[in-house]
Amino acid sequence: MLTRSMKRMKTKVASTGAPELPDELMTEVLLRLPIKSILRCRAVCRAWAATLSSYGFCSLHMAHGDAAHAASSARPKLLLVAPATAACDATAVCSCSPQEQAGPGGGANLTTATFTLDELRGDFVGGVAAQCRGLTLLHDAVAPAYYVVNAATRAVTRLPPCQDVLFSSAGLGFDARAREYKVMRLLRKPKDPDVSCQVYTLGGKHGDRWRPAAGRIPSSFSGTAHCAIRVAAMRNLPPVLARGSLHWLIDGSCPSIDLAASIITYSVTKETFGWVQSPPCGTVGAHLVELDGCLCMVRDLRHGSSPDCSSAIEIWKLQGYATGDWSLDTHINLSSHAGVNLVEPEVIRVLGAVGDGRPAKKIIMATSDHTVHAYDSMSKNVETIFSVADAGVRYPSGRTAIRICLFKETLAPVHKTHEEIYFSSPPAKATKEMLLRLPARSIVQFKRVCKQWRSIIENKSFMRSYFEHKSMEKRTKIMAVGRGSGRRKFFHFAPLEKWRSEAANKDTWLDSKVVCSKPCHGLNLLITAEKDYLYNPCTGYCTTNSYPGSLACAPWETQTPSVDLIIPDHAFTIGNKNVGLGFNPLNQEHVAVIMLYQFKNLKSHMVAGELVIWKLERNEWDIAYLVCLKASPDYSLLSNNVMPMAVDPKDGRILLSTGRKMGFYDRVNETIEKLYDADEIWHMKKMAGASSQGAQYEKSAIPLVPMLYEESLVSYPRTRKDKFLF
Amino acid sequence: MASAGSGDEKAAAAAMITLISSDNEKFEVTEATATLSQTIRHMIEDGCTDGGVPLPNVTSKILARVIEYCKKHATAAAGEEGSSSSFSDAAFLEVDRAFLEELEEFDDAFLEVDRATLFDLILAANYLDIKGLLNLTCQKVADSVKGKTPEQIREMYNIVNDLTPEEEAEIRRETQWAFE
Repeated sequence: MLTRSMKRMKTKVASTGAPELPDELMTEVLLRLPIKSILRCRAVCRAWAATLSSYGFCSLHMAHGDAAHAASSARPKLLLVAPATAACDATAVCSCSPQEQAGPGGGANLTTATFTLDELRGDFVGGVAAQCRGLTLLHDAVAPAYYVVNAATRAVTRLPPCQDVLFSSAGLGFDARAREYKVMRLLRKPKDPDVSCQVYTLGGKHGDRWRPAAGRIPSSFSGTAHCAIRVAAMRNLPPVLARGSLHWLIDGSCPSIDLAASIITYSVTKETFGWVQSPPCGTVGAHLVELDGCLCMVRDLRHGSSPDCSSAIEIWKLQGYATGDWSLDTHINLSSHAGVNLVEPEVIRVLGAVGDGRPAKKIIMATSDHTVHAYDSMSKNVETIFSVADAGVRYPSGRTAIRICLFKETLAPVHKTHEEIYFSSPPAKATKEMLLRLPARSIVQFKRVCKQWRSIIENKSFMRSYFEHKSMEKRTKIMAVGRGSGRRKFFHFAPLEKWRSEAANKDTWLDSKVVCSKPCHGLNLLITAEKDYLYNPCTGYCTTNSYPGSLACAPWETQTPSVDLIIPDHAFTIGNKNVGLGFNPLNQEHVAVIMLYQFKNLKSHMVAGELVIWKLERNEWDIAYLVCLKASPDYSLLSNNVMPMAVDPKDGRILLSTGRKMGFYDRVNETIEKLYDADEIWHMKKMAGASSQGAQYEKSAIPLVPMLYEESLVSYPRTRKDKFLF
Repeated sequence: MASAGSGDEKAAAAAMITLISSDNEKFEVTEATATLSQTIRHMIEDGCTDGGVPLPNVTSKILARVIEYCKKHATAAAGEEGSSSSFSDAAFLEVDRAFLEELEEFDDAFLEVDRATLFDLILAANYLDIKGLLNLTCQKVADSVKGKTPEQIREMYNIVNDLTPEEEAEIRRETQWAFE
């Protein structure tokens, strides 16, 4: 009995006569170890490694854990997704097991940061679904990406990206027949009105690939399925696994849907579509949960418009799929619990129960105030078992997604994707290191070397390392921007040192005014009167942004210069438009801010011949630099707008620009080293004797514009994805 | 004990069972004590306990300890049955708690043995199929393994490390946190 489905370990024991146990009994011992010890024991010998990683041992361990859990007065184990780190590029996942108040711990919560997921942004993790045999599915709405996590073994895999998906909602299930974990998602692709279902099998024979589910969604249910995806995204309600099927809820917010079928299902094993009749009470403000192995629906009576509106929640249990028979199982009054505020939180969600099937089970509920409560079904009391604030985790207010779930400690393996396995291999690591040291222009071309190189180059974390690596190069990077030629090549970029030879080629002269922003997170914004171009000057990536004609005063309309408040030829604005570029780290997107105005006064309050630069440090403004321009008439503040652009990281010289001229200001000698001079180009041309030809350019545009840049691989996918960020 | 054949004689003797250890020592125990062992329970159900139950895998020293355990826990089981009918009665719950504490103390003292004895107890518990004892003894061994490094475990159990250094490094890398 002990050895069911287990191979013998065949441990090699040195015969010394010391007491020993037969292998099957050693297995019994090992089953009783905490996960961490089991993982460590894998390094004892080959036989132990094989046994402790086997499916058989994993199942025995799970069964043993369930039995032990049921026998003791079980404490729920909670998994918590913290908000993203300050840099917004990683998120901690914590586990905690709230202690019972009567226990020696005195109600203290033990929260341990289990692991950190790079790239994941916890603020935008959608609602976390209940675990499935120890594994939890997390969804990052920003990337967007799915992660499968085993919090006990701290194993994580990031599923292959969701390409060409407009909207999707996914759940995790276990196919007991094939012994495989499957992630199933409903999705809508662009240009396809129908909703389909795709399956990703963890560690399966299909490789890193989402494949269509065996069963299709009947076209008559397409609208319903679309609603299901929407409800899942808007209300952070991932599908619920019960009786081997994933269940998506459709609530009352979808008017055109026949609500007789308010829950759609997909069987994990058979991959077939189905639906369940809704309970008589309707589905407004409801959510699904699995309790006692049954599908249950939780109604929050606070939000209903029905006559039974009160501070309570009801749990309805589905008795039979065929008949659609629902019965009221539990009624939890929210208002009558001293010291526990359950009336106020906007969202209350039932996570599950501990002590399932026993008379004294506890129903665990989480709130949008980031607290967790246990409802005792015997005494009908509610106690607070966990508060995120007490654990020292702070969420930005106003987010209602509940990122806490119950989890089980199991050894369930998390199969890495082939790509992840390849990425951690020594050759891939070497390739990465080599690519980091190449210019961005070559890297883009190397995408065509092979599939694996391409996947490395397009990998988000590689892009980030590349950006960091290049930012460490201590030099000021400047390009000369000229006119481009060819499809989608709006501009031409050349190293600034070559500006003289570039200027000789008049094809690249700009024919209208262009203002370049400073680089921000790897991209520059190039502004013309009609359009803005978001550019990666290194890779040539570009996206354009033109304005709707409905603007009160179009930027390219000629201004009637009135009064001397207006400097008609300001170097850093165009017409009545000023555009700036920023980056929102939380949702990982660039933001362009446009200012349009009727009048402008950009004359600075100048001290003759001196530019004072202030710096904000520790909330205090202080003079950081004094730029004395007395010796540099070309940069006179009376006739120019002088913009300090950067401080050279090597020698501390200050990069100054007037739009027409650019140079490094040496603070010691108070002189400017010329880097670029547009007037010199004019001068050169005059010397060459060009006469009428160049007249059209005269003063209207600067032939080449110098631009600071950052070397990066940043780009955006061509098809923009709609992100549901709540 | 030789001729317990006819029906009424059996009923009278049903309360007592004789267990015979590998070194031929005889132990007389009540049926309630003996049936904690699933193996013996099946033998009783099959009616093949006449003339004693030979247990060729268990020495008298170990059998004595096992019986000690069973006696204690048989009374506990009986007490639990008695109290379960009046589940909500506070007085009974109080008695239960005291009893459970006493049982825990007994278990702790019971496990104060050397490793060889502990292993023999596991073997006996497995052979006799006594769930509680198997769980108790295995947990004791597990607790002794819990904080140990792979090296220490190999030493404790004389296990030859047949993993290549690369394989071992790979295993450690997979779940590095467990080795920290």
